[in-house]
Amino acid sequence: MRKREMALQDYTNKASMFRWPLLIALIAVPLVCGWAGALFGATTITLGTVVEQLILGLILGSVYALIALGYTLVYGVIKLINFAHGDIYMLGAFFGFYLLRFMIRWLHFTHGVSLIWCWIISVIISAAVCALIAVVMERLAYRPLRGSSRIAALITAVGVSFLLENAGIIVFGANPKSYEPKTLAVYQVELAAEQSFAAARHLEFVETTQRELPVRWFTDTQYARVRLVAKDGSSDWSPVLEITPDESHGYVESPSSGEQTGLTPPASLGYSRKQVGGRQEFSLSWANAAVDNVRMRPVFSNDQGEQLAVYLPLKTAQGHNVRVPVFNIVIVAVTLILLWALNQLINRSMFGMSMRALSFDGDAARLMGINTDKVIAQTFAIGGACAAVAGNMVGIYNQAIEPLMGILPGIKAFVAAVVGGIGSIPGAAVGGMIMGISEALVKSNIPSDWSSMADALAFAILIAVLLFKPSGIFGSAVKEKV
Amino acid sequence: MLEIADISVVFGGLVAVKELSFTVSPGQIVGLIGPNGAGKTTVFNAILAVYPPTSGEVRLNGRRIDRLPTHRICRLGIGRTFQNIRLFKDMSVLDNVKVALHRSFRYSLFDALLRTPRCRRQEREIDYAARDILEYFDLLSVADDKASSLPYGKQKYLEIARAYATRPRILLLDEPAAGLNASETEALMDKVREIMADTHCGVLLIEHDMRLVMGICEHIVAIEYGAKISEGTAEYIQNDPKVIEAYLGTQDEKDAAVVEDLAAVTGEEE
Amino acid sequence: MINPYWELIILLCLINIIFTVSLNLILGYNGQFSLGHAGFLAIGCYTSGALTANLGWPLWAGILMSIVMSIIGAVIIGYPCLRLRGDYLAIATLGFAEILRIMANAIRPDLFGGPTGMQNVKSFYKYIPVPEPMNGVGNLLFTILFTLVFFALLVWGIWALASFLQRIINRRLRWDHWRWLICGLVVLAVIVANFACRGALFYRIFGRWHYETGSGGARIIDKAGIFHFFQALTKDSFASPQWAMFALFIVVVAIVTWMIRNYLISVPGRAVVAIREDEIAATNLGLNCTWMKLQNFMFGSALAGLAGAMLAHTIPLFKPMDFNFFKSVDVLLMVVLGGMGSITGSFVGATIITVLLEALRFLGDWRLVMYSLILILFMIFKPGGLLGSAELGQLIRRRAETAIQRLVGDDPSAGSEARDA
Repeated sequence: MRKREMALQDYTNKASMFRWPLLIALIAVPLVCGWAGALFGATTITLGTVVEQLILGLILGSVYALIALGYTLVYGVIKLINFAHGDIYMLGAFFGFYLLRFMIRWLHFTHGVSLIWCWIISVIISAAVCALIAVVMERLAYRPLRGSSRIAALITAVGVSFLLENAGIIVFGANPKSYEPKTLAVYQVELAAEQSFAAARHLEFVETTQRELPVRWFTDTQYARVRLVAKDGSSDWSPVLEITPDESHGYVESPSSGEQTGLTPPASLGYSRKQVGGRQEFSLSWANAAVDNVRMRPVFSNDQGEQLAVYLPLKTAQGHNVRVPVFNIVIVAVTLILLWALNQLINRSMFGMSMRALSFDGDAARLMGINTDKVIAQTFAIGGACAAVAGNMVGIYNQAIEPLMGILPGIKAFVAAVVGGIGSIPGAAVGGMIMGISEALVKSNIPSDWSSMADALAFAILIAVLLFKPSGIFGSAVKEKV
Repeated sequence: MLEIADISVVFGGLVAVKELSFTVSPGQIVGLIGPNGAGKTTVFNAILAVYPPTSGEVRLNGRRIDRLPTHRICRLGIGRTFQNIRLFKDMSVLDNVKVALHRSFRYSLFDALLRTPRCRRQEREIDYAARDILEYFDLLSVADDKASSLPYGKQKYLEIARAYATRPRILLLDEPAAGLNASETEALMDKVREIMADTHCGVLLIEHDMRLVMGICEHIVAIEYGAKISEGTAEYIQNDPKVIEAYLGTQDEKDAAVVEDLAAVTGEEE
Repeated sequence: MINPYWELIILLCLINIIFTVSLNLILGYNGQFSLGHAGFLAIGCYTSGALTANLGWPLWAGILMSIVMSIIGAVIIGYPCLRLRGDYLAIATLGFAEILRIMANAIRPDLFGGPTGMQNVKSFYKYIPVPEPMNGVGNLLFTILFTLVFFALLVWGIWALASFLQRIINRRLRWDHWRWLICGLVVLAVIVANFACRGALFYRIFGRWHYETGSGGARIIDKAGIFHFFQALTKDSFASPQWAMFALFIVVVAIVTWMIRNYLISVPGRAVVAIREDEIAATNLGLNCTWMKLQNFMFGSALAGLAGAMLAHTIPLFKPMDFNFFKSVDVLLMVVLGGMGSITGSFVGATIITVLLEALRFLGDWRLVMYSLILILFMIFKPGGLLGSAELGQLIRRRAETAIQRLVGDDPSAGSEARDA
């Protein structure tokens, strides 16, 4: 009993003498390598550049930390490298992508809900769905193998990963999906007060799906009609939208779209009218059935559709101020909050205690009346949800997602978990940050035709950690029972 | 001669073995006893550096071995068995012993791959040696069976046979008689004595069966919470109050409890 | 003569056999999980390809170097991971393979061809000096050989399917001869189908006797089919030394198999299996587990490098994308399907999967979904694979003994025992 208590403490938060040297080495080596490379490249390094690179590293690190969390929790509980975890992250990104599209069409365009809320809702739903998928995966693929050899479970995990990737390719298509459309039709709006569009006003939607209209256009008429015409004539559907004075919003939808060749026509056209501080605002927006062509405004943006950003009073090498988009701050903040909350959950709650007990000794935990199946399923759910959140944020950050996007971040996140000490949440966070920062530094400082080699860094770090401190920064060396 | 000098094993904050020292000489059977969780198996693991001792020294014939990797220690002449049998379950009984005989091979990987005459000759020798050992342990009739298909008692023998095949100078036996009935235990102990007589090795024995330990061991070390509480001959240990206390609880506590009970009973009567 | 397309597939089968066996050594016999085995294939392929095609090295040196490079790669990842217990090797090899792929994309396009790959590697054909008159006979012999193998696999497949169905049907309706009925039905169905499509099934396998005569003898013009018996003594056949390729590859596979068998019945092989069974016990018997695991990993990787070198000189083009994660899963599937810890199982697994890969091309991406399902279902319901850890020879011998006993009729219980095994 005494032994167990000690070990539990050990498992959670025991400082190790070797933690700091390793930490410092892991940060310092890529730093030195990166900036030495920059010196040879003869570019000037300013404080601003350094800060910019560090921020990039923090963002990458947050993503790795969130994914690593799932690895570390699952590994802690059932000693299985859940290879499919990277693919859950991929699924999260895709669900987030489609949900955000849907939310924008449904809530934002037609009901005027702000983009941020759309995003939050889609993140939450996709996290829930991914948690469910992770649980189902555990139930169908891993639970039947609970009693068999580690290798069998590991091979199954690879199989599940492979299944998700290929199912992803079939369902979502192998080509990357972009938040930024590649070609945007220029649509023209014709606005008329009468039945005919002969004397219509014209205004254009160029690379945007929403426009504010001057309210005075509608003051002298009670009844307006709007028609959307593609300028290049590629669209053969021109919806006519009736604008009535007593309705705050309205829309018209295409009956069946996407069948036509060439550029897809807009699938719906809507207007909304609202009272903002004694002033009436009137906006017109369209959405497309082929979701790929919907222009996604940055989630955190101002009225002009420009990305919100903070400028730091530091100059980069190019001589302008360091620009930090608000969304990047949000990524880091969300990660930190999630990690903190989970750490609390693991250390303070009954669930956390059962989980720790399970990871320490599964049989004993079962004998103590812990429903191990339930705890394992919950662990998978938490991991899946975190990965989905990471996927959502990465999608928007990179502006592109694809079905194989999970493999490499999956590997790197696992390395992060090992670096931090597998089984430990602070370890996942610190490991993720180390991986992210060192990758960012190396990536931005080595010559650009070698930049893909930055991916090799994760591998080098893994080898180094396994050689010198396999239990990681926060992990305690796990003794196998003899 | 195996000398254990002041070894301690610490896991995190837990002291599993505390400044323990004793020696095992060739031809001597030393018993290691103690209540459950006293750290007996940990001592074995410390000797073989499965968990290297945190402090102290382990010496084999004067050579310090506690900083060596496990397999080197074994090659220097320490063989062990495990509390929960750890056979190579999917391999045949013969192969289990052959694995332990790896030290006698002197051919390279290329000899093995190309099956040169040198390899063939030595393989034949290994085969003979393994069969000899199986015969010695009365297992030759099941040589080609899978190890996991053996009955429990035979598995115990196979494990000892495997340890014996490494030609140990000191043999560490972890609860060899657990799960065996009286006559089987007797036979096993005869075998252990026979091994000692034949090879003049020392034996360090962990056992819960007190009758067995007292019967076979010339020298006994008793530990509790990782620390030695008593050491000496079987007779001395049997009568040592500290050992009795460790196994049965304090005598005073018992007496006090009995007195209280009596008082309660008499009080009710009055 | 065999259709050049199927010739390539047969050669790929033989290469995949070596590749699969190399993974089986690591995964099946030693219990270590190398998930980036395609990386070692890539090392072999690119080393031999680049050295012979772009640096003008002789063929033997290219192959030797690819083996050496694979071993170096194995040491670099193997040593840190194999020192520890745990599944680090899986993730490290996976990362290793991905990085090799990225490097092959990015580094020295003049040497490694970049993303478009290498096309200028000389095929083994160019190295084999064969007098033309031998080709006809050689090709005919190998056509006969592979026809026999093909039909043996087909018959075995049908039989296995029938046995499987019998077991299912027998739960409801007990009759010992369902499997014969099913086999008969399948054969009948094939014959009927062949009649129904006017022999097209036959033609798809053996080709058709459509030829034109011109200068230089008869020339088959219908290229459909796999085993072109009709073409055996035509000009095309005499021009193609494919039999020499087959012979070369079969000899290499035989040597590799022989070496592995030798390895497994000697001290290092036994040690490796012991480590799979119980590493702590093995250490306590004085085995240097790290070194044994590393040595085994090096051996396996060297064989994968050899397979890669052979691949480089067989296929007309290879590119970095050929060695991605999917390739590693392919070979994993071959090992698992055949049975971890069975060399002949790897033969069966490699053959089945390679042929399936080609035969099911029409399924597109669904093929890969199917593979992953096979992998998962096999692990859950039949983790031993088709052969378990037994060798084909043992199984056949056991079956034969049972059959003989049943014929003699002395011990009916022996039959059920063998069936269970």
